Amino acid sequence: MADPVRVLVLYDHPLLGEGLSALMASVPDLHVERISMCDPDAMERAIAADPDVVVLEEGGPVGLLDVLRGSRCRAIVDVSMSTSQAWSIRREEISTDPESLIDRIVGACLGDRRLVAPLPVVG
Amino acid sequence: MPHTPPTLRVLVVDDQPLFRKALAGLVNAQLDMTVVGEADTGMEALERVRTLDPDVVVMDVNMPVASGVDGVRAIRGAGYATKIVMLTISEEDDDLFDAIRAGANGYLLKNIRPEVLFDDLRGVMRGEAPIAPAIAHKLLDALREGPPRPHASTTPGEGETALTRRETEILQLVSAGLSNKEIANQLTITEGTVKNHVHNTLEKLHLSNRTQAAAFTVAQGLSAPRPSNPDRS
Repeated sequence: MADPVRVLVLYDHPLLGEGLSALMASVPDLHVERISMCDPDAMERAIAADPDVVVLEEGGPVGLLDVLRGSRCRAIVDVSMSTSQAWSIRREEISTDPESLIDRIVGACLGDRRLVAPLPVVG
Repeated sequence: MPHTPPTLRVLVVDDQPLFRKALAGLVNAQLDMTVVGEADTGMEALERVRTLDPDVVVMDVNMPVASGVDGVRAIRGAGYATKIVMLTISEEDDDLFDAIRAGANGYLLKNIRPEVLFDDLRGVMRGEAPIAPAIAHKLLDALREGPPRPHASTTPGEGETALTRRETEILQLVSAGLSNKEIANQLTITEGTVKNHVHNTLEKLHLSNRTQAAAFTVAQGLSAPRPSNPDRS
């Protein structure tokens, strides 16, 4: 049996954070924790929780970049109190080597770069 | 036999499904409360009040199509005395005073702790009027000095309805050619809220489109002053 997905809800508004956590906790394959951004140690606790997915409430003192860089989570789901839209980001660490970076940029839009980029001219 | 308090029947009205479901789940987890229905506009709230007869309506203020204030007006206009508590992120004077004038029994902010909200909902059934502490001073100020006057009151037709300060501001930006998105960015509010204000404004002024709104603004001398250009000193 697969391990449950560890979800961390990082919230600013308790009604949203606590309600959303309770909602997700009723799903059998999810293990849900929640941390209020008002907690001064919120980011440290979030890193220590080592979740698979962070559900982040937008607009609070902890931002997307903090989570992206600080946590090892595989995905971030960005939610907001003021819009019906949410966004999900699959987190992937890549090298800053320019070739890898360009591969990733092209690959993100067009698939495998080797299939779409012109072959280098060999002199 | 232990006394069991009667279950408080709650209607949740909010256009954001995630927040609405989160709140409904928390309400349902209370032993003495149950969510009997949900709605996502002020007008839908009236329909739910008619069919479900809730004890209390928890209603957002800024919703597209029909705002929470429109919903309160509609529910009161239809003769229902159901308790209505606004639950919003808006700390705008206009929203607060409009909601209270329309007949809301309470005005709370969405940063409230769940247990405080639940106590407030129980309180409203005892006749209390919960107001978020952060904005209660506005009501006290209004009692001392009188409520803020609506900003513009000139309308082209009969049955005049004054525009709120926010509606006037948005009317000026519409007339300056800004899109809803640009207005939302400038005022740091959501596009949905802008859309809602534009709709209400056109309706109040009996206008049918943005071009007519621009012409009306110029004719009434309501155009916003042009910002000075620092490059042309």
